[in-house]
Amino acid sequence: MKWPWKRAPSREQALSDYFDGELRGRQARDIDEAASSDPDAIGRLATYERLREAARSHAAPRDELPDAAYLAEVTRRIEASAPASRARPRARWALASVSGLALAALVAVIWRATGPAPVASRDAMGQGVLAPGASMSSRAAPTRGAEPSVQVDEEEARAPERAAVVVAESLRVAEAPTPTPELSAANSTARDRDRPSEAPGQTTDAGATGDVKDSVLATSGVVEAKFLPYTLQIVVDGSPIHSVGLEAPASLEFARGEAQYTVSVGRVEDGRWSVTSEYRPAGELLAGERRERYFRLADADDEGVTTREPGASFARFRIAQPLVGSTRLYAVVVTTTDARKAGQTTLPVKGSADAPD
Amino acid sequence: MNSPDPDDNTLIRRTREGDIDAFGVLALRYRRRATGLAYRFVGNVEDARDVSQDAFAKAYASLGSYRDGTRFDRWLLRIVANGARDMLRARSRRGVREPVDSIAALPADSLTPDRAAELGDLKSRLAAELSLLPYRQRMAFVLHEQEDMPHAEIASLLDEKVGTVRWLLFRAREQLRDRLSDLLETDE
Repeated sequence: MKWPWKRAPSREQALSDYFDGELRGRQARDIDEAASSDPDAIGRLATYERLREAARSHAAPRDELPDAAYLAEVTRRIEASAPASRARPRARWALASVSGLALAALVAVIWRATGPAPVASRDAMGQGVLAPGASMSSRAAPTRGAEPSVQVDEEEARAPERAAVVVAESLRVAEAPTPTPELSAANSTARDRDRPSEAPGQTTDAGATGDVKDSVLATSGVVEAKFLPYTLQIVVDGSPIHSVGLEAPASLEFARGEAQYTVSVGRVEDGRWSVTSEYRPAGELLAGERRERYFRLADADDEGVTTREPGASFARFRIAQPLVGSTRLYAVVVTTTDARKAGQTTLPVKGSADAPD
Repeated sequence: MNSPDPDDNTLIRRTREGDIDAFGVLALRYRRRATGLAYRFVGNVEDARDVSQDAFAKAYASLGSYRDGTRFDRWLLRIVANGARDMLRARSRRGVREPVDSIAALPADSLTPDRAAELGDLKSRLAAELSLLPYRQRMAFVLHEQEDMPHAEIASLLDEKVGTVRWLLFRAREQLRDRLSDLLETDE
């Protein structure tokens, strides 16, 4: 519908559009004609052309800083923006890397000797996460498309039995590989441990304490949780703020403060579940970060389900994924019955705002 | 290195696989362009460098959201333009007038008629007049005329409709035409 008060572009503006090759139809034909006969149109187009030439030929002054110094500063900024890099001294990281390699070798030997072991359970609620863009010089490729890397800290190396915990995980989006379960688990657990915890009251991310505005922006594929065996919850400091029945595909977009998060749950061809989180910081036009994980619900059976910490309101869980962009937000998969036992709401979100944490 | 001059997509793929040197190659490949674009907004080399370095750091952290098949240079320039905008806004909040490197980038109203005549060069005067344009007009003009960015991409960057971008370009051209009429008419 064309609004009656909507004015067509002036002839002058039409000339500008024509100059950019953006004019179509009858108006273009009119201007075409004027461009060869109307002195005003000819002069205007010539002016535009001269402005374009001048603009394109006016080079910015050359930055004399040597390339090496330029890159060094870029590297410094990348490291400064990665929480994991800040939290862990380089020396410790070096030690962890060596330990990680040793553990990876050990796991590989066991794996070869025993063959594909049945999937074990795991403590899915580790802490920490691969920090996107963590470091130019070390571990974290910032991205999808990367093979899962193995990162284990020295604690992990001293307790190799922990390698039995399993989560199938991948950073690949388009094509999910099947990583060695032990390596993935070790990788995941170690990264999770490295995650810096926020001090009470700290407001380094969108999940600030106090009266953070928290609202659901959009949902899809949300169903009654009570009919489903699993519930996906968004958890802040142990307390769920959003809860949806887990039947993929489903997505939940919510805002905390001025930052926006999108959590999507899907299924991949081999039957695994995927949990993807995207984070868009306040004021940014582009989504800042994205993380995707794959897992099997069977990977975490009841034996391995443990509490995150004493007193945590969600006592039992299947798997937990720290959301990208925050150190306090987690996507947690719990059994619906366990969620009820823990006294949590399992009602699906219906687009209304949840109470702030 | 597989090839002496790998394309952007190859470098991005390798960066995602953990090859940080590949990102270094990308950064050096687009360093001049990114700094040049930032310069057109912020008006001095140091700040422009600051903006471009920040943009590369953000690009690295955001490679996960980079869609294969899109042009890396345009994606990067969007980040640069956003960074420049943020810097201008910060300056504006602090009441800081844009620092400039050279007489060529001085606002025209700071020039005496004699000095302006002395400059007498369309390219230099254009830089000065551009810095006087409203931000969105300047952004539209610079991105389209200097970076050859299509209207639709500028619209996406500015969060405006394509029609609005056309209008911004038209207004920018008309203002520049008026202000530079002495040079444009003389040279014609």
